[in-house]
Amino acid sequence: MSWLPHKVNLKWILLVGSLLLPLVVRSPFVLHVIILIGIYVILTDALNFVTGFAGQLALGIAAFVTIGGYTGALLMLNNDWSFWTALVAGGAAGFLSGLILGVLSLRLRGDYLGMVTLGFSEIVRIVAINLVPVTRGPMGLPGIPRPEILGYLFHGDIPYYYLLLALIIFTHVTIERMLFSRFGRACLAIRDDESAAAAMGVQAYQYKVLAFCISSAYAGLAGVFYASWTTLFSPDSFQLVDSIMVSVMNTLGGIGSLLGSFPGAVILASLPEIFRPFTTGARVASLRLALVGLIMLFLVIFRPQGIAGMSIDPVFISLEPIRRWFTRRQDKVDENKEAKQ
Amino acid sequence: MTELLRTEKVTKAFGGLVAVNDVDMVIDEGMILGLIGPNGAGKTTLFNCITGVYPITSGEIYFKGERISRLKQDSIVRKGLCRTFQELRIFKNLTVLQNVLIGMHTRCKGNVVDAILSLPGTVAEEKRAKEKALHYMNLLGIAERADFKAVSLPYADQRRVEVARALAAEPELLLLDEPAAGMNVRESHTLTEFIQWLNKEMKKTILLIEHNMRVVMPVAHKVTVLNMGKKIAEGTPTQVQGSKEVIEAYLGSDYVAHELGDK
Repeated sequence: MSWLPHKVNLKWILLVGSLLLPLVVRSPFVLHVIILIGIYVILTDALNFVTGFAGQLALGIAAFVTIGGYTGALLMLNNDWSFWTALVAGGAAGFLSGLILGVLSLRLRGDYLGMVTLGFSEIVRIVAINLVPVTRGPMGLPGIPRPEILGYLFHGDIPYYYLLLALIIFTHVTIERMLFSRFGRACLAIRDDESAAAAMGVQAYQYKVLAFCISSAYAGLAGVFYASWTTLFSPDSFQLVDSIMVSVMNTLGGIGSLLGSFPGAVILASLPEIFRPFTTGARVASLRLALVGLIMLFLVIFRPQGIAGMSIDPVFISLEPIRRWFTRRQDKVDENKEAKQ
Repeated sequence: MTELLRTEKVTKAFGGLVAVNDVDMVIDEGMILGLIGPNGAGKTTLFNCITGVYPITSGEIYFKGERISRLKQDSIVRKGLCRTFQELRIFKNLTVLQNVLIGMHTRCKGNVVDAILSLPGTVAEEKRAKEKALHYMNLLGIAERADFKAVSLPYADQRRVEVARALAAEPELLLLDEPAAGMNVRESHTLTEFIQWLNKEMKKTILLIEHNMRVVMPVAHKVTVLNMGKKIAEGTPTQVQGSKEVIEAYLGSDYVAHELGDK
């Protein structure tokens, strides 16, 4: 059994599992929901970066998704940019708008910062609705082009799934690298005790702004992906309720954890879809919120730190049961051989 | 001895309350200066003024001849001043190693882009920083706890983490704010020896705020006494202990009138 390791890092299992997922999932509806979950994974990771790692309560992530989405969509529609350059531009737009809001608001702490980000999110939505010459207002931007790579034009959900997977991997790899660097440590220190961090020479304000910008950049990327995937982007694509949903996913997964975004997004984004057959139309939305409330209630009572807690350590899954199973089978084969002799 | 830190008429007022009033103080290289005074005398406020937490209202502070009284905290740390806190302020959710690495923040350079690219130079810098951090943790005897969460350590070890973190910033002047707070007699005795060791072996100049006379008196080369924001006495521990103003500040004027007045 020497070829089988004793334990394996959970992220490799997740990676292999998600690479094989479209081979198992045959239903387009399920794949659609999975892509939606994937978008929420990126958004939860983005929010977690600023809230969980840098400790700043940000609530309006939808604003940056909207800004990124519109930037990407408009560049593709009006300026014939390819999806790939538009994706980068959307991320940059998220970063820059995060910079503007961050510079202005990150001197505030706690609840006040939460309120400002929430307000900003509404401002962005209202501007998107009323800036009709550019955004076509509530009608949204239809016909957003699909990505093309080496002459292959995306159609159907499977290529989008792999594109999203690449984005998730990009998000996770970059977040992990930042987290275990001088920059990430400084962010964690600010979260734990801002004035002690400052006393150690950490420029707290600058680092908070930077963390906020990076978080917003991920949201911008997700916005461009969403715009191209649905080919329609409107002020309603990402709203306040989505921001709250992402915050709840982050809380459920574990604020300040490295892998908590997965359980958080999977549970909260899939449950309403699982319950969809039992309800009709408008009731889905209200049921979804009731469900969220119920989950949060149980969470607060039984596991206030969230599913993954505050863990940034790699998670290992023991392979001992499988090793034992193999060994037992091997023993049986040996016994049979002996019996034959 | 050369002069390391000088405060000139440092005043800090919070509205109408003058917490530190016209304080002149000189710390020479290699000395241990004890800063004592009753509760609310302005000792910690003076600390905060020196380390750049508060902008001072008037006066100047010089470190190695350079003016630091208008600098931000990070530049002051970079120049070679680092502090510990009166109430324990380690980063609870981080490991001991991470805590000490944050002390080295100003001594490393890697930024976000370096982190994302993880170029060999950045990786090497991170490795060097870890080795150095382990060195400081070894000095304080907490190296084998490197991967424990700081909050899981016993109180005395948490204090050690804080000192290791401050040492990792490679300061020339170490500012210790009541390091003996919450310690019993034996622990504070060990602390006294440790402070002397820091001074002699690590060649650190130390500014020590302390209530506990058992800690200050044996180690301090010079003692400065603050009361109501003002410097009321300065000198060797014995000189200060005999000063009438100091006894008055600590024990009240009635005590001086009754017990000492007759003599």
